[in-house]
Amino acid sequence: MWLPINRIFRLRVKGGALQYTILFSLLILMSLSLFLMYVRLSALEVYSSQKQSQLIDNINSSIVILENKANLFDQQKQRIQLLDDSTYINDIEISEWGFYDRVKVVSTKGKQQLSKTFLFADNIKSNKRIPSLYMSGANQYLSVGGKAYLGNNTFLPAYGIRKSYVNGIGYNRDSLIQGNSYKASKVLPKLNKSWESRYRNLKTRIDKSTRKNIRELKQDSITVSFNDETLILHCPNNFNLENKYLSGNIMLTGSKLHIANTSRIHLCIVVADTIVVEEKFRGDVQLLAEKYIEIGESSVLNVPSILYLNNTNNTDNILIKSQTVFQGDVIVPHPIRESKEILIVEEGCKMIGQIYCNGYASFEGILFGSFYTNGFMKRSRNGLYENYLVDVCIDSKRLPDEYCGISLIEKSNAKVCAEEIF
Amino acid sequence: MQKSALKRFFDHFKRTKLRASSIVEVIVALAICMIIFMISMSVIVNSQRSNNIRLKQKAQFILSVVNGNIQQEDTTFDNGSLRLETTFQKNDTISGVSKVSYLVFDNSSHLLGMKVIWVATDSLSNTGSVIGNNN
Repeated sequence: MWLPINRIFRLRVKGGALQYTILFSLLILMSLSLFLMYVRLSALEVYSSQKQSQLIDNINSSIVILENKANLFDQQKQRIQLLDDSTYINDIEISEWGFYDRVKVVSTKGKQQLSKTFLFADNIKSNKRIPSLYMSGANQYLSVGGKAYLGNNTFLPAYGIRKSYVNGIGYNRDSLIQGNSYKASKVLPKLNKSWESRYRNLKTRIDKSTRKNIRELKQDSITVSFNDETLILHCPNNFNLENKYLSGNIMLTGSKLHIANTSRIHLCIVVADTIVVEEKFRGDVQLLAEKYIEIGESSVLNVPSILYLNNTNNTDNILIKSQTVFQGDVIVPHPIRESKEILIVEEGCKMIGQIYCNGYASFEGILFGSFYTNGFMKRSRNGLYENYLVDVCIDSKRLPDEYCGISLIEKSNAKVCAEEIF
Repeated sequence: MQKSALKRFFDHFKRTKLRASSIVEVIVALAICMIIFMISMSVIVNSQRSNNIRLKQKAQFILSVVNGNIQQEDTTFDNGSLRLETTFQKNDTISGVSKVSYLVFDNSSHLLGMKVIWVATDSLSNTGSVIGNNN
């Protein structure tokens, strides 16, 4: 019946046509299988590309939804359904990053997953009536001199506004206020409670976490992803931070900290009792202090930056030295009796953002944004002037549309994506 | 006398015996060729029909560039070989946000690709561009 194997191998097909046909058939079959494989792989590639595009679109769509539904920020974790196709899953994880929100969006389809992390802030521009200046007070005037420019929606103290002479300079403009003015209340509107609680949360978090001594660091450049655990670096007293590059998910703590202009800090948070930033420093950083913050001359702090002073004594203050460019929010929340200026902004400073100063401020710069204060102090060679503004500009109208800061007074009902972080 | 190279080459062919094939072998070989050819053709045609790789790639390209100039209403764009349908659906729960679906079909109304994005309605009326598209 069956031929033994050795005989099968010994059999030879003698017909040339059949041999050639079998050979060509095999070649055609091989080509065909290669072609099929190519077609299949191409189809898979197109399908995978479509999935990837949709995952990117889902992440972008999540941002749009988060920007338009602020109450989604009330929960830390949630899942939103963007498509009718339930195999696409979109998870959102929200956590605090200082005064901003860190949002991680994970879009999944089967085994394919894409995640991105963003920094969210409040959409300040959604409030159409943001004031240029809000100066509270029952029994005081606001006196303006030189080329002082007060923009639309200025809230004035009870006695109103008047022209004045300071150091022989009179008022040069036709109108005292460039837009609408209103009467302010006797006391400053209360600061949104969430900022104080965020500061407390941050302090508690730092106290509970394990900290690493900054002297133990061997490298000068450190970058920590926001998807990793936060790196908390403790600085010894009177520590001078120089020749360091810190970026990302890093917190710096200490009692008295000096930041040299040879250091670059990007997106980090610094919490200390006293923070002194050297002149010509550049970075974007949240500086939170208990007693004193000083920004050196000609420094540049970009969005998203915050200066927060948790002032408790009458000597606590923030000093922003001349020619500094600051983009962000400045907050001095507590009214301290018998305190002098709790915020000093020197001449030539250009600021974009908002200032909340629950006390007296000395202001000689330009602010495109809002300024909340109880009053102003102006020191000159001739003496001390109370509630005088000379050659300053405070205008909320020139706050850029793309500015994203924090809502100082009310809880924000609109959020905005500040930037994509890593 | 030494033979030339050309002559030696022809002599070699003269000496070689060509093996002939029987008629049965030729018929069997032809049958196998025909079967293989038919199988190949059917496989190629079917794969082209079912996958439409080129059209799908075109659809993918169209979907990647439809970011701007959309109206806040359902629209259809047909270029002969592909048809792009845009459906605009306002969201009732989140104000100011709408869902835009783009569907690309071929001539026989087979779906080649789709993408769904959520857009801020205000941004559409102002600039005609869709927020959140950078792919």
